Amino acid sequence: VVNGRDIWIEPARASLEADVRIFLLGSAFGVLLHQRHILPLHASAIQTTHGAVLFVGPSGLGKSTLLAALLQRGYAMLADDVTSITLEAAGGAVAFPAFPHVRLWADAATKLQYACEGLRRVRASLDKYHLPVSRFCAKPLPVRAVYALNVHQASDIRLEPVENLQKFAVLANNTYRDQFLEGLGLLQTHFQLVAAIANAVPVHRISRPVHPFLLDDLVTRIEAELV
Amino acid sequence: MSRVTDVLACNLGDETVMLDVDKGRYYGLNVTATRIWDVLAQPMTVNDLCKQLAGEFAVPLYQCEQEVLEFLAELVSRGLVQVVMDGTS
Repeated sequence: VVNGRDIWIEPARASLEADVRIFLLGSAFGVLLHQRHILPLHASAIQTTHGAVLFVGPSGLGKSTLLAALLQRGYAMLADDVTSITLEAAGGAVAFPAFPHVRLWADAATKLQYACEGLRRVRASLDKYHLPVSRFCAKPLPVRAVYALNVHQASDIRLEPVENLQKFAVLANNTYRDQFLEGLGLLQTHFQLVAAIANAVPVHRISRPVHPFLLDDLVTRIEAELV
Repeated sequence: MSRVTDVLACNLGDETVMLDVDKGRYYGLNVTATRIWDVLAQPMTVNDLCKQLAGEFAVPLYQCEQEVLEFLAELVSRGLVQVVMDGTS
């Protein structure tokens, strides 16, 4: 991946196109974005009346499940896994759309009553599927808020604002492919970009119990916030 | 005391985050630490620094000195500020 412009691909013998695609659209694009001084955030994103709302959180915490549930409620999506963010000259943060699909594990799809038969698998070896999405927002939107998904010991759902240093930490820790930054010589660029974006967008932590998921409550709570 | 010149620092509200490029690590400064860092934009003696901060935070000088020295030692050990021996600062 060179200068944020060229990607050279040398597929190994017998490699499957689908597998090459995963790494091209994943790590290679991640590096490309870093080289262009665009922040790839490990986040899903939806369109709301006041801009893009992003959800970050570690894998397995329910980012895609929550996104699928929000789509069922009629929201349009921008991204299911990685949302690119740039900073405008005026200081506002803008989120860019990614691909019009949601990648969902079979059990999450079942929970949301989607049938997986006939859907394309993410990788031949994974029980994870591409769910095509019809409501897709194909234009960049100002970032309205970032929600950090979290689990806690309590039995209810809680929302709290995240400020200053913690805000920086949320964005820095959820940067996609940040392990490449040092090798790319982009630690400083990334640092300044994250700090500027942290100052430009509100961040909230939303915590749910480990079990049960409380998906419906979570969606209702988020919708109430978005009004 | 003076800041090390190649430290990258950004304000986040009234707190500060710093990047240690060599170690690839971030350091966070809370509100009080941020104030000390801001004052150190001008190199000055520990004595002057403590006097100014004791005034600003309305704490006794001896208490201020104790806490500031502890913090400065931490900054020095992480290579973020340095002792300058030029006799004028």
